[in-house]
Amino acid sequence: MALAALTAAYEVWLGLRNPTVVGLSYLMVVLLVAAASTLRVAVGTSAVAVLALNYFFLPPVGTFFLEDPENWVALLAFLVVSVVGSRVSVLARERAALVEDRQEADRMRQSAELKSALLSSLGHDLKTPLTAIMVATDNLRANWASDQERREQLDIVASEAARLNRLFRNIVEMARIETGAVAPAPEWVHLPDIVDAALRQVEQTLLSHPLDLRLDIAGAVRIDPRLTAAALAHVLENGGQYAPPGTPVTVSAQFTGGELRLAVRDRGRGIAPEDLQNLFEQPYRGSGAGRRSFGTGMGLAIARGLLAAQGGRIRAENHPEGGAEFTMTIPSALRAETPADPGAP
Amino acid sequence: MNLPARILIVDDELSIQRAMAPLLRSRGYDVVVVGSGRDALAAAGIEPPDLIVLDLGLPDIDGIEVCRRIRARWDMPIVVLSARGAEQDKVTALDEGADDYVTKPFGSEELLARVRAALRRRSASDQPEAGQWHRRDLTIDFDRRRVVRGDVEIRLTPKEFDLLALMARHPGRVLTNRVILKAIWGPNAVDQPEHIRVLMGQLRKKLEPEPARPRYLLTEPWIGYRFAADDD
Repeated sequence: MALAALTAAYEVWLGLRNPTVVGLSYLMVVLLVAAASTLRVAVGTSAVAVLALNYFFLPPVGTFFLEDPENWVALLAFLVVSVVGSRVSVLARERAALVEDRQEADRMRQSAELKSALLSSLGHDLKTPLTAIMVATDNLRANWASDQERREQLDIVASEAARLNRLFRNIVEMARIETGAVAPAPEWVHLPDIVDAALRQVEQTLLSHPLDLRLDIAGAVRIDPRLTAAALAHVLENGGQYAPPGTPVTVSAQFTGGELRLAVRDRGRGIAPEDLQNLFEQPYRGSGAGRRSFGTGMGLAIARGLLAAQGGRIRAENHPEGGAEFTMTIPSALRAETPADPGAP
Repeated sequence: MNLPARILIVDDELSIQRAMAPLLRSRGYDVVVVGSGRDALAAAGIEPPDLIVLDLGLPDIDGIEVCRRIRARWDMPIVVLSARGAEQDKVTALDEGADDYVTKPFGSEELLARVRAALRRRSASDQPEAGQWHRRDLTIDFDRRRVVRGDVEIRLTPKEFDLLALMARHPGRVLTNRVILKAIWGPNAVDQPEHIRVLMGQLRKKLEPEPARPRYLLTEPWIGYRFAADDD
């Protein structure tokens, strides 16, 4: 097709007669075809190009006969270059496919390693609360415990059951993210509603932290409210767990350049430099966390997954004035609202 | 009357501490709780307990390292709590001097049984390792290297007797393949667990009424062997 068009253009409009120029431009077409399709098509194209060159441009024009032996040599060289060129390009593409296969295998292997790390961490996270519950229920069943001791053992059962529940929810959430089952459903929402929903999910963890909310966005933003609130909840929970009781947690929001930015800042010890790399990998606990009763090590990975599902991202850094700051960025739209214009869509 | 046995619990999980400590106190033990390896070594240094219950996953020092450091200075029994699935951790802890292990999740009775057995061994190990030893219907005469079950004498080869004697001297205690190989065949044999499998098979065939369901020489899967304690 391209060859026919080129031939017609040279012959009819441009009146080009120089066989070298025509031959080189044919060669370009042949190589382009070789780069884009199979060897067989490429060889076919080069044969057509040779015939066309011979018929239309090499004297005597209008025949497949060549009178000058030099033109035989030129034609042969043309054929060899086009076949070799297309062969090389096919080889290059095959090799690229091979590299891609190998990368795919690497990704699979990494994913398998991740799964086994996740499983062994889950083993620990499940067994510790289970042990506490088993021993505490045995204690409750026994007759040696005073009323005060019974209340303590009941507290253990209740809090460890809540911990198992948190863990279970996180596992389900993580599985939904990993299998791509999280579909964003953006809506026009008001940011305070999102923050409110997130705060309610992590009420217990944040009890000992004063909250400082700076949500100065006038109008509605277009985001998935559930995914965003859940992501924010995980980030808030993380801050509440790592920062010492009594220290404030700040949530601030900004809308710039078509993106909503939500920042959560705590006044804890900040993030150790060696942790900044792996913070959003799962399962992960900060090097300072030890193995406290809270947390599944999955929270930040889940937050990242929930944000990624709606094209967003999350970043962690240490605030210059101390504490850790997590910034979530979500592509969004802003619709200004005035009392006179009560939010028509 | 004896003083109550003093038990040091080393576990950083608050809920485990708060469930385990009153349980052990209810059985009359004197209980001290710490949450880190450093505190465990310090507490043992101030007043060595009669037994240590040690969680392997500690926030500061690796539990196996704590085991090694305790063993370097003291000889009280160590019962290891392990939540990890890997058997290798338990084997390493036992090789490093732990006496027994309990796998999380466990119930009260399991823990109490291990604690009782370990404390009993402590008092038993004060006795000389000679003379005659009776268990159920089994009599082992260490001096004359004779074994009698009921009233039938069982003829054992020297190696078979060594293996039986080694295990019977530590009733209830888990002996890893490595420990057994080193004791019976010497330090060069520690990488040849097939030695044990063969010898244990022969010994069971002679000693156990039903070798496929051993009563005395119990297998601890993936870890080693244990001579049945009284409450096994």
